[in-house]
Amino acid sequence: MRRKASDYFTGYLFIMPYVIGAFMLFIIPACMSLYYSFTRFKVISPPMFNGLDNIRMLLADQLFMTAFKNTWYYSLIYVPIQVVIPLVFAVMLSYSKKLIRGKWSEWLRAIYYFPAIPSWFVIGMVWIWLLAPEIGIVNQIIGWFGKSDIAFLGIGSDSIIPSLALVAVWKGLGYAMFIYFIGLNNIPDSLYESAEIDGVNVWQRFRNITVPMISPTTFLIVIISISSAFQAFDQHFTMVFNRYNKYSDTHLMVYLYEKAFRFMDMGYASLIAWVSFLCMIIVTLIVLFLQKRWVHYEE
Amino acid sequence: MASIAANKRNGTKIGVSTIIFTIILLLGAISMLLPFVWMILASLKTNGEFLNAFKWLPAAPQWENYTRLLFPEKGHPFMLYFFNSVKVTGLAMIGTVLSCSLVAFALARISFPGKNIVFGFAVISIFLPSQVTMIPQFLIFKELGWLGTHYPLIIPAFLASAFGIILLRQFYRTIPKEMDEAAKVDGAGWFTIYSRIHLPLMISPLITLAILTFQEKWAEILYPMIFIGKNSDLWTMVLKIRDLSTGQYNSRPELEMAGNVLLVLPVIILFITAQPYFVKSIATSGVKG
Repeated sequence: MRRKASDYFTGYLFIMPYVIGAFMLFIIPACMSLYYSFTRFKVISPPMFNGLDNIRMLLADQLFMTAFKNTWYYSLIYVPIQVVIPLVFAVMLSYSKKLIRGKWSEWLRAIYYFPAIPSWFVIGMVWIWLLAPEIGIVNQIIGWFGKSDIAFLGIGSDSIIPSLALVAVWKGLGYAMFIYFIGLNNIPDSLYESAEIDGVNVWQRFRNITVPMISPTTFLIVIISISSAFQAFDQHFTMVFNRYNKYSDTHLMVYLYEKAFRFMDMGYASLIAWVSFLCMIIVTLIVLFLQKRWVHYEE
Repeated sequence: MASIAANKRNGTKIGVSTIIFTIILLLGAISMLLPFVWMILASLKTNGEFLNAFKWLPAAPQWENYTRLLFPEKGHPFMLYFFNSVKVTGLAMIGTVLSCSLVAFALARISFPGKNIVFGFAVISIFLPSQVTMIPQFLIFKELGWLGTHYPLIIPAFLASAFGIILLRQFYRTIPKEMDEAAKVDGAGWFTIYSRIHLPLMISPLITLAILTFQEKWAEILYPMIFIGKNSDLWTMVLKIRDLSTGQYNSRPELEMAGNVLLVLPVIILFITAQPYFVKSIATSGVKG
């Protein structure tokens, strides 16, 4: 009995750091943030409850609407591509194992993963120049096939959000590809072998065996991609907002940052945070709800 | 014989599609590295060469871009920012590893009431995005007088992260229970069991966690920007490079690229030396975006 009591004590003592952290960094902040959403709070004076005023302001706020639309547009391009392309690459990687073996295959994976590591500041800055009109490498390469002078990241241009989404796919490709690759290795070989006897081609193999069998991994990648698309602050700040302080191409997170830390409008910014959180949750719930239709689980 | 077996394991024999796929993959790998090669070359160009980017190679490498950056005529030497980054990242890594290993140990090995609630909360809290907690955290740190210091970037790491706890807990659970029992018979307390028996067995997952923390902290932009703000003595490298791109060197992109190279260099070195651990860390980081 004594032993048990001292076990309890040690247990609570050991988890103390996390309990303090959970209260200080999660529970209390989440409650504060919810309350602030219904207040006028500009830091210098204490928060004042103003009911639904923030929501009314939000609905009339053109800049918010632009950022809201941009965030959805960005996510709608980024998520599907980030789900499909890494899968295709992972499949190609598993084919290439016949030509590129052992250590080399590991290095190939490592090279693909590499862009995920450096800060968006570095990646963003480099891509701004690579995508520059005329002198950018991408325009130079397209130029081999004909004259090209596309301002991919031009202010307010139609191509800016798709370009951003594609750069994000480039950065995240190796990570998702690696997760898929692990999933591919768990597909039983017997399935492929019997398919081979039936003489199916590469596409049929991919369509009828790989895609259904890998679907639990696909589901994981969908969820991860949704959450990173809605929280893509670093990229949008570096590649768009840091260059010119205009709101036409902002992401919700950047707008939230501006409202909170430049204009010190904490109440309104908290509401934006909850709105973007809600969008993310709704999309995630829809995906969860639809998973029965397409995710194939092993019995 | 071995190659036949290998072919069989991989499905089809080497066909045209395999060759095409391999070529596409290698081209893709080049596209992954090309921007970094370009960055290094660009950092050695003169301003004129940079803006006329049709030539990829600089006529003569401008090493003075680096000396200019490292030893500026006025302002802080670049080393200061490097040390700030090392300090913040290093302490955050130590803090995360220490606190997560202790908390995860308690949750995996000691039985006490309420531990499932704590673990359940950790799992749920992963889904709560940072934008919701960011503003109140800022206000809390403001009340504590921590704004404009490194504390907000370091102290939270010592308070364990949900992700680290979940990651390490599964590894603790693979260690046989008999080891704890045997140690207890010898009169060891829980802390001795944790530090002498479990930690040495956990080296590999702990390094994985340290690497993931490094990756997160070294590249971080938002939190240093909010919490350190204008106090330029305490800026991390990322903040300094951001200043280069918007401040006095606005028209000197080649210096900015030199700064980027300096920021990426430690990452490349770590990446090459710890490559197997990176691979392992991706494999175990399924939940981390």
